Amino acid sequence: MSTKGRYGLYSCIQLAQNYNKKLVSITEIAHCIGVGEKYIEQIFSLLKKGNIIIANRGKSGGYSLVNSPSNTTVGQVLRAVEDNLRIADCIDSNCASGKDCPTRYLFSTLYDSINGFLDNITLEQLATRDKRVYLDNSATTPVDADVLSAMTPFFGQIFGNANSLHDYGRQANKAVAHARQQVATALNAKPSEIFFTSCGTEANNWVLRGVAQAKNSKGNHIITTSIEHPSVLNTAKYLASCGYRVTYLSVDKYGKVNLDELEQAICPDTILISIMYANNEVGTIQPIKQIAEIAHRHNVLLHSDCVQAVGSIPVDVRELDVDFATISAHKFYGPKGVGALFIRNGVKIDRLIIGGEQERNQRGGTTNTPAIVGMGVAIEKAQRNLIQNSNNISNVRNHFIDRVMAEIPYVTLNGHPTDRLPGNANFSFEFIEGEGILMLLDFAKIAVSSGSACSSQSLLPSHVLLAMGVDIVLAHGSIRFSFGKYNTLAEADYTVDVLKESIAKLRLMSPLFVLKEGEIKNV
Amino acid sequence: MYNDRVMEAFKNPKNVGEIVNADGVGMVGNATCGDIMKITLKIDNDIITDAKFMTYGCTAAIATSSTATQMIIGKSIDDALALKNAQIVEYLEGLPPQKIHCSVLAEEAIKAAIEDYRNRQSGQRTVVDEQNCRMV
Repeated sequence: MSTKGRYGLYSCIQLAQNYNKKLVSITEIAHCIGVGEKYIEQIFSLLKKGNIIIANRGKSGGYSLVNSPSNTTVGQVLRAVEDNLRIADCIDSNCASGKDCPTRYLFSTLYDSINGFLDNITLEQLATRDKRVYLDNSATTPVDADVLSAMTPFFGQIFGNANSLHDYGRQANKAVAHARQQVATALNAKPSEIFFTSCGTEANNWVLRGVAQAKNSKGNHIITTSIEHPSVLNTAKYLASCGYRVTYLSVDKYGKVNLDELEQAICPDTILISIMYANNEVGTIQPIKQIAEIAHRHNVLLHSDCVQAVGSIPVDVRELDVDFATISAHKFYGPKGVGALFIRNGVKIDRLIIGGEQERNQRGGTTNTPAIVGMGVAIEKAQRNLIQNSNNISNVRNHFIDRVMAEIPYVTLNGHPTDRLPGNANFSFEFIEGEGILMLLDFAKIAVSSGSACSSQSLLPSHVLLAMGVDIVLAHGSIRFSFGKYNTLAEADYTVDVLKESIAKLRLMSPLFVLKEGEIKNV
Repeated sequence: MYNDRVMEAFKNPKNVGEIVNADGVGMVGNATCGDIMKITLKIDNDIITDAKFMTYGCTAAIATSSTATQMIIGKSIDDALALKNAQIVEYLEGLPPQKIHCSVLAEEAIKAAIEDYRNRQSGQRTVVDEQNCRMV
């Protein structure tokens, strides 16, 4: 294929991206590719002749596709610009061997397959191919390639049950022990303090229910916050229904707990304090070390849900001085279906899952060797690249926040200005509802989360934003963008562009916005 | 969660806006609950000749309001009053259960707009508290 073919195709992809939006000029295309306008003119005249593109004259003239991008194939474009796409000359020449020639058979079959292949790919597919932007890394992250390749053998060759005595089992057991060491090292814990679970939710359930049971002779009071993950909040609610007393600490407008309120909430019968390290919705980081100091001064155990923190900020269980910490692999480019609970040596807790002797008798269930191996590699890699990753991520995130705040009116940033996760940006957009924003971004292949009530039955928006005192109407219009290590500045820019359009579109439909605009005009 | 028909109605809503000097205006919902719909009607000899909507709300709220306006244009006000939310849902080939209330809101908005029209016909004024409208 010649450069004519490549540039012709590139030009048509540009036209596809602007289809029904604007006309594209030869100057723009030539500038994008970095070649002279004369050359693009030549290519465009071929594309016109092939009825692929059409010129629109006039002041703001330019070119557009004749048919929609979904109805224009790569094959059509290439055949219009290339003089000769044949793979060998013999296909339609009058070679003496004729149709019986075996090489001619090969080349003509190959030629047909290539054409079939090219005719099966539309410009729409190419135009939208690279535009997928994933900004929901707080929900889950893709599995890192190194993690996946470390896991693969444990689905096949090394499939043994880690509790079996034979070689199959011993190999699996060794891998699990290694992963436990990796997790322990990353958290500055001892391997004997790491217990693998099926997820973060299980670990949170385990801590709350396990401590409640183990300590119910001492007391029945648990302290947590109003902004915890549902796995903590709903377990606390369940324990309350079983007769435990639960105090939910308030947070300030940035999502921070008040240390005086915490200290005052502690009673002689308090058995556990559970406070997340970093919030999943607004990214606010809690002063866990100071919280630990208060908890331990009163002889109360402290659990911290560190699911959002690991891989984003340093998590050192000795430094933080927590008794329990929850982590989950899929938040730091590990697989789903595996989490871990750090239990400080010597701390008593009841089992949640009763079964065999796995996890030193503390958590029954066949060891999930491949996932645990993946978690070990993932946490090691996350820890090794922690500073670099979080610097890069926060650069992209800060650029995004700056542009949104500067270019979109009536917007507020939720969460703490500095004590927040490097990848988190949570905004409330006035006069519109979050789900609509989410869907419009999704149409542009940008994935985000919304704090609106729309997916819930309750009609209430995010409990975190409400606890922070965010106005309920503003909370309905909130969107969480969570950046990860694979996101780029270009993706952030593309997202701002789409976001601006989406917000404007929804506001033009909103009676609240029209009322507001009316007020402004009246002033 | 949403079917293609709902997504399409949301993506390319019809009859967005407000009719200037409308013959009937209906506004229902509550910002606290996350939905407000405002429907304006042009009515000629008891026939709805034009309908427009403005909606603050989710995908389903926008899709149902757009659909509702499409379904009543050209209808008599009696036929429009007879429009049930289930017909809007049927037109959209279904809504998730937690979104059915959006179609109820659309039905209520039409009823409110026609009620306003009738009030005006009989010389009464409808009181619409736009900041805190009626909750459905």
